[in-house]
Amino acid sequence: MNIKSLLHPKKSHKSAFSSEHVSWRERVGEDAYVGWVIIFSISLAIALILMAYAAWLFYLIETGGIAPAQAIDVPGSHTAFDENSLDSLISSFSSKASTASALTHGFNGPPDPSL
Amino acid sequence: MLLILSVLAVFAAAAAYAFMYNDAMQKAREEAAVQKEVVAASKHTVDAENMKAAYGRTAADRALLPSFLVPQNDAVPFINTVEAVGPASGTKVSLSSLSSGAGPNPLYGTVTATISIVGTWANVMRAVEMIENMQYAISVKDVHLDLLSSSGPSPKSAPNWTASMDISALSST
Repeated sequence: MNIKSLLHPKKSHKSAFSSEHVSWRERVGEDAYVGWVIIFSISLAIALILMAYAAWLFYLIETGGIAPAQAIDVPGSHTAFDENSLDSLISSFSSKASTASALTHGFNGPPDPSL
Repeated sequence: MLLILSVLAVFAAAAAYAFMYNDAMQKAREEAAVQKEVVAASKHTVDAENMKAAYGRTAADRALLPSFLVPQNDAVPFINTVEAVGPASGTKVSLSSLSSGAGPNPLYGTVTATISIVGTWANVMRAVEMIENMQYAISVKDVHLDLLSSSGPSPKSAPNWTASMDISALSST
């Protein structure tokens, strides 16, 4: 594209304002207005793409979608003791105590096999 | 000249964009790392609070645990408890070959003993169950039952049985 035609556009018989029908391909490089339209369109497209990408990055940052800079080895918490196991143990010993208490009143089991 | 300047301006803009992009991404990654550390620290704080609550909640139960173990250096209460089964069940209980050894892990040991019981069938069975249900972390194995006599001391009394078994109780070290 001729830089002079971009800086000093002049109307020609092939200009955008011409009533004569000329195809776009023929006017590229010849008509300064077409050149500016192309430049503006490409710039606008690039700007839109960059803005969309920036919005996407902003979304990732806000939602924590960006991976941390370095691997962090955060030690996981662990349970020092299992409360359920303790409850179960106490319960089993309570059950044993109940059984032992019941045995003081007599034995309810199989009869003497020798009789 | 203008064309060269334009091209340079484009390259400058692209370079500035790349620089700012890398800087922003680096900052975002560092922020993500900090956020992850904060989340982990918050979780640890919650875990510590939960552990503290559980510690207080289980104080009474935990206080009972030592009583379920036979003291390594004082087995007398354990022996007395075993021998008390005799009068309670109407049998004659004798305890022999008491020994201590290593437990399932270094925190505990074991006390093993051989017990023999003499009495009627019902009383012997009752004594076996009483020993099995003593308030110790105890296990019973190798139970042998034998008929001593077809009748007890008097002709009308029930026959006598003898039971022998090995018991193993966890002991504190």
